[in-house]
Amino acid sequence: MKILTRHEEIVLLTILRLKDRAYLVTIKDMIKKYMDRDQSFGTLYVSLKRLKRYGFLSESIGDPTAKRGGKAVKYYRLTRDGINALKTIQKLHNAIWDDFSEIANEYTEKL
Amino acid sequence: MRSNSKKPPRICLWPIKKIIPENDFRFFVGDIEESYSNMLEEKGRIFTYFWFWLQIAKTIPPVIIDNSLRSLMMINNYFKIAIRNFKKHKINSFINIVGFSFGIAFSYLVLIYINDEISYDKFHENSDSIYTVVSTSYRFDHTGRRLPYPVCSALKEEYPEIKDYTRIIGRHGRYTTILGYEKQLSNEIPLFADPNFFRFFSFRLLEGNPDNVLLSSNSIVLTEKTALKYFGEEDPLGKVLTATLGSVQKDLIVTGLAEDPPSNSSIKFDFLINTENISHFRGEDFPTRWIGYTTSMLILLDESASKNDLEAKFPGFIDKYSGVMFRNPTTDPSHLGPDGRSIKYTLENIQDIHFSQNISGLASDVNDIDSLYIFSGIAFLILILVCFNYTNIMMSSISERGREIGIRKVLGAVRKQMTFQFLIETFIYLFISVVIGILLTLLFIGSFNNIMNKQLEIGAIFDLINLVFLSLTVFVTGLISTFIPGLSFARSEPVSNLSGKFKISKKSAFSKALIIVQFSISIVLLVSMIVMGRQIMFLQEQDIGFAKENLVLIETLDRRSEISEGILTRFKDRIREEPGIISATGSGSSFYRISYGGGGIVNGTRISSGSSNRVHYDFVKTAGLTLTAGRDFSRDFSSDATAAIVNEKLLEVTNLKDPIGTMIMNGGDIMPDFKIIGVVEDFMQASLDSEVKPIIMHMFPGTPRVNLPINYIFVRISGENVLNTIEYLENTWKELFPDKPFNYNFVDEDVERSLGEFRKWKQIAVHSAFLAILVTGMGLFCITSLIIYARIKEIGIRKVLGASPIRLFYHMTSEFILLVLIASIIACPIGYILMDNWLQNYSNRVDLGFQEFILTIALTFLLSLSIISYQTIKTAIANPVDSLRYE
Repeated sequence: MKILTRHEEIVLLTILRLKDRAYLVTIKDMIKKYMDRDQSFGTLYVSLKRLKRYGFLSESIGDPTAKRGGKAVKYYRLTRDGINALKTIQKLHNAIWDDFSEIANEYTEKL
Repeated sequence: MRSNSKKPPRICLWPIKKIIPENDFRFFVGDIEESYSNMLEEKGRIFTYFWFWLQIAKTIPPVIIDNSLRSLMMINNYFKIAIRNFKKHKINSFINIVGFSFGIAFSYLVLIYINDEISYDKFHENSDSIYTVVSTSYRFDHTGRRLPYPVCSALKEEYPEIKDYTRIIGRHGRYTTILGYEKQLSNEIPLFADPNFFRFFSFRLLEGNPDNVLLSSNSIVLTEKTALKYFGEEDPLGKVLTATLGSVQKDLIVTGLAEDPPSNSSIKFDFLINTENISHFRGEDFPTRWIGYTTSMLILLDESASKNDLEAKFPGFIDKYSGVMFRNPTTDPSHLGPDGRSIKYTLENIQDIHFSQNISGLASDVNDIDSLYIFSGIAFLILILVCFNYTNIMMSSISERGREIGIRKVLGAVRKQMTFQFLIETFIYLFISVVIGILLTLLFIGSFNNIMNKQLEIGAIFDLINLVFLSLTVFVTGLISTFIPGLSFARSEPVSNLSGKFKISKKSAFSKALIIVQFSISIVLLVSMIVMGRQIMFLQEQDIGFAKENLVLIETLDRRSEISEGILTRFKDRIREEPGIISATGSGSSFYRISYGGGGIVNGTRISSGSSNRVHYDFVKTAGLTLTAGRDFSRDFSSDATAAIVNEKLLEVTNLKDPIGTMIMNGGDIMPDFKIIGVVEDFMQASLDSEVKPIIMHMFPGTPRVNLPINYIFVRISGENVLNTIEYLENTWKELFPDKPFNYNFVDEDVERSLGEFRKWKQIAVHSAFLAILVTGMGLFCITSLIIYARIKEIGIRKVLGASPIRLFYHMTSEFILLVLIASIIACPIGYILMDNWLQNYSNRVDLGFQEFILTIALTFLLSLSIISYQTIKTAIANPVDSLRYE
């Protein structure tokens, strides 16, 4: 199973949280909220494409709105594979971050 | 009225549009616009404006990087496919590579050659501003890069545009130089040069200071080669050599060692002496002699001056100095140029010297620029042939790869990608071929040098400029080879591809056109080869008119009338009793090389200059000329001192019916009139291909004003014990003339050498035609096999329906016959025009007849028939069941 990069991980989690409302603009805004840093359209676009290529995302097309100048929206959702990938990461994360605070404290005492 | 400010400016989106696929772009734009209007609400117009620009800028890099990464991944895939295809069609791949390699090797050799030829004399730092002064004499019909000695300094004085100048007096002066050091005696190519020689030109000085190495008139500067000859590995600096010109000797100290002049230099020399010495060797008054074209002058033109302006001023100069320059000004209008003066000065840039064939002096090698064009033409044609070959093969392999292409298209491969795929394949082929091609170049550069009489170095193969041009050529070749097939089959329908039913209907018209072009090119090249071959054989078989075998030529190395004659008579008397020596004589010019001076009026017609030669007793006998009227010179007639023997051509030109006793009018004051006492058959004069000119042979020894030396002694030997005879001659010579080296040649070898020029052309013609045939043959082989493969079902069905192998054969070949026919029709006129043009170079030439064309067409037919037969017979015999089972 492919190991996700941090960035990809964040994107996938964001999409998860956004449920049915995940598309480029909303993803971008949410990531900004979490990371307090702007992402360019480009990086996001590339990540989304990649994730789709891996099979972690599926796309669907929504209705156009006036705000978008009459163009349709492309919504993203996680696929089963996508969720599994996140679960794998979570497992890994839990395993490796387990007892972090305690260990870190011990560590700093010894310095 | 504010325009709808809710939308972002469209223009900025254009770059994005280019790098994102169309589908995605639509949505992307929508997202952008939404963001934009959000931002507009929040932060206002100005902020949004800047924000937007920033966003666009930040978007572009990641997308481009991602695109490139993806392409790279795809390339990997293409590589695998390409290699797999190689293995599947080994024969085709092999032929492709061989074709490309040879084509590349050939073109590369031509490229290196041309680069070398163009580079002549460019290595001088100021080569763009260095000009040589060329003088044209209308009176003597002679153009050369020489002036009277004092004119040089006078020109500098008169014209400030001449920033600097240097003089060179070279071997074509009246005397040759013999250098002596201890026992070593040899004659070399000297150059009298001004002290600024090494500053003016960019010849490298290995030892010695360029500013003062030639300052003293006692200095001599040797080249590496010369120093090696006389001093071996020892340091030559400080050693003393004795130089002998004519009878004048001088001891000179070696003050410098120069690098051998590079092969692409027109100015070549073995050693250098200061021009001041000219007075010592050639007469105290030499520097003030305003008559006589002796000195080459090279000027450095000031940057602000214009060459044409300066040239325009020269007639003024000639007028001003005409008093000193012309002792007997001529009023004969045939002696004057268009501006009424008898001489003209022009400027020629040093870089142009190498290609100007009609100007004498200074240049050591001359080439004609036409041969460069011809070479490029041939190389270009061969490359085109190879490209077409490749294209044909690729297109024909469509039917086989139809499936692969179909699937790719179904999977969404964009046309761009597929073209790209084939580009990669082509370049893989090319890459391998380039490597092999360079190896081939290394292999063949030696023989190329031999044929072309050049010294191209192996280093040149890896020279940056050459490699750059090579890459360019290869690149363009690749592009051409790819795009033609790439375009055509990428358009086709995927479904028909899948089922392998790919029709070559329209494409085969294109394919056929390519075949026709290929054949045409091959035919043209073949015809050229045949014609050139004929011309050369014709020239070789030409009756030379004199007996060149067993004729030895010895240089007297003295350019004074009386002294050289003395050498001849002394030598001749000594050797005459020796067995093995049949006869001996002397001559002013090695009579099959250009003769000099003189002219005269015979029977009212003026014979142009360059037609006289001073000879001696027994000339006709020794040279083996054939007398057709009159007699040879004889000691019985004292009047023979002003007698002349002419050739048949002279009779023709002057319309002389009764030659014996006719007078040749020479004007009386410079030269006496001659009486014709004999006529000989025409003989070869300059080179085999030049016209026979009228010639006057006389024994007049010249006057103090007109120097006619005997430069060469001819000895006819018996042909037995040649080595002994030569040894005898050498020993006698050394005994009589210990100060002179024994320089001899065999006349027949000399003549052979002058044929070298033609051999070169013959070789070239043969090699290129061979290449062309090879490539065409291979191409034909591939096409036929592939097309037959495509029609294998058709053949199978025909067989089942009862067609005999013969009928099948006929059916398949008739198409190709037609193609060859069309190609012939196109190629013949082209070939005719080309060859006619080339033959114009030779005043002595064969006629262009039908034979060669018919021969060529026959050969081509034969070739194509044999190849096609092989293929068709193979298929015709095969079991139809196998082929029909395929579907």
